[in-house]
Amino acid sequence: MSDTPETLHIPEAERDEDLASNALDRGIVWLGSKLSILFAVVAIVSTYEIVMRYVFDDPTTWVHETATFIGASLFIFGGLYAFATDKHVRVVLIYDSVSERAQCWLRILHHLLGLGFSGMMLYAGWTMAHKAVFTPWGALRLETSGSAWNPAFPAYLKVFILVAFAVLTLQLVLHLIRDLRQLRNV
Amino acid sequence: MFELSSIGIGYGSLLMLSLMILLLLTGMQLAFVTGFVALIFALGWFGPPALGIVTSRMYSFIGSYVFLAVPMFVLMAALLDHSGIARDLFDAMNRLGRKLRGGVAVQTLVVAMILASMSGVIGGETVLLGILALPQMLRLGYDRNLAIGTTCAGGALGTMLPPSIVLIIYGLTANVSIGDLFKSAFLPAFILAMLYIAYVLIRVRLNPSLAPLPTEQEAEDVPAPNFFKALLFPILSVVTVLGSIYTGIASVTEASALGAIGIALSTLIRGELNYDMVRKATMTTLRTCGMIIWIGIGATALVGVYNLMGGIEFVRDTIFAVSGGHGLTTILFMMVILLVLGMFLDWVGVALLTMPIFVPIIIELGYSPIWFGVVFCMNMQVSFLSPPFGPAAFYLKSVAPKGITLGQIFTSLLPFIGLQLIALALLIAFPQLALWWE
Repeated sequence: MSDTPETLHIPEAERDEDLASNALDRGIVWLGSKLSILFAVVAIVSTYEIVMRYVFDDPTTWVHETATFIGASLFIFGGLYAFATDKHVRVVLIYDSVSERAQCWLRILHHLLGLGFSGMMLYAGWTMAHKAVFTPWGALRLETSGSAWNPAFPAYLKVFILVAFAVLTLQLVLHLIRDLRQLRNV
Repeated sequence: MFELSSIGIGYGSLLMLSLMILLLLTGMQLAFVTGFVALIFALGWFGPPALGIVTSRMYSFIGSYVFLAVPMFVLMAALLDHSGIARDLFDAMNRLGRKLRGGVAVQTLVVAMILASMSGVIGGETVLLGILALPQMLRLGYDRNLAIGTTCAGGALGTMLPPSIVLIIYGLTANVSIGDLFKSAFLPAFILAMLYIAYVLIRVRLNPSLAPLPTEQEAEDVPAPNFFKALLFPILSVVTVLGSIYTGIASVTEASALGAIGIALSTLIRGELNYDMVRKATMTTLRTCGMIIWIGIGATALVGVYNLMGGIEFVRDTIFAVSGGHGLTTILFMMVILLVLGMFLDWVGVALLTMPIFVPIIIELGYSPIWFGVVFCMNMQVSFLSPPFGPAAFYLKSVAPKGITLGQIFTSLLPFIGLQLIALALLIAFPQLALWWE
């Protein structure tokens, strides 16, 4: 088998940095390259928990909740990342067959509807985050998980969801401006 | 505020479905379409306070511990893809390719099965086989369609053989034990792979020119395989991950994390592990999960709102009206819906949109939801290969030699889709194939 290379050459997809079209998207891609390593951390702490439980008979109180929290935060962030690099699943049957100008109009429509989505999510996310951070009479009190360890992860996560939709709204606005400008050129 | 609910659930469902199809066809992101439609109906049907349903469903969806198994299995597969484990495995199996007519295709399918029992996704496996197996079959002068079809269908087995993220998502949606799903999926997956192998052997028997044997010289040149080195890590991995799930030592999430660490250690022992490789693998995980989970967020939101509107009841009554409450007719009707949806939507979307509606009906008809999970998984096998969007074809296209078009790939896949439908029919006719262990 002389004609097969020694190492596997899996073709690199287009670099995500190049798919980002503005500073915010590039920032998200940069942040993603740092944060994604947390998935490895999740694998490591989960394995640590199994070892502690079976080898040392001393299960931890913090691994499950921490791993779930890290995972959930990355899931949310992953959506912003996918939007920044245009990797969200789309049905492009018609989109690919129309003119560049029509594609531009369609993208503008998507951004406007997307803004409707993220705007409503901002409203709902605000209500949810507010309840998780403040008591009904207005005092600051972070919602906790209620376990023996009782971290404030629910509050953090709900605030993070709100922040994520704020960022998504900003991303959509920037993409809308980009495509409105592009409309003049195509 | 106008009252959208005044149009009634029948027209409401129709409006919802039309709006969704219309927006999808414009090329809008699936995750945003479902989310947008969910919010519009929450607002129009119930008013602003109902928007909270969407965020709270989103919160509980992403915060589920079991869900964490998805990124862990993706990470495990990504690490596997960047190691030489698959190559060693393929080389060790080359004895099959030497003397047997059609042997390299059989070798490809056997390797695909072993990789599939280590991995729960299809992308990396299809790409790996496309790099390892396809060029070798083409060089030996195998029939192009046979070679392409074998590679692609073999790669798609990744989500049929346990572990499988399709079964994990089904288990979460239908609220059944993922361990039980993994037990039940094994035999049907094995039967599907055997159908592929039998198909290859019969085709080359009837027409030997489809798969020429290597020359004496070429056969001599093949180095003696190192079975120990090639099989040690795959066997350890399968025993660790599936063994700990089947025996109940670890939860599915823990087993998946253990699997990722196990593959990382294997690559460390093989001298392949480095920071760059881990970073690439975690980036793949972030990309894949961002995509999958946002589709999930939109779909659960939509189903949640639709359920409150009384939609699930409505679909149930409609399905019973169409099928007359007859079990098999209902199932076949569902299969048609799933096959059509699978042609156009991502499997995550199909699972999360339809299963909350279908599974209660299945249970009401007296069928096992575990069995139906395997049926669903088999059905999604078809969606990976079926035109116009079958993802396995696109994965293979990304590494296929120049000159192989998507059209040719989809043509090559037609007989394999036929075999999948046969396996699906067998599974529906004989539920014991999935449930024999109960």
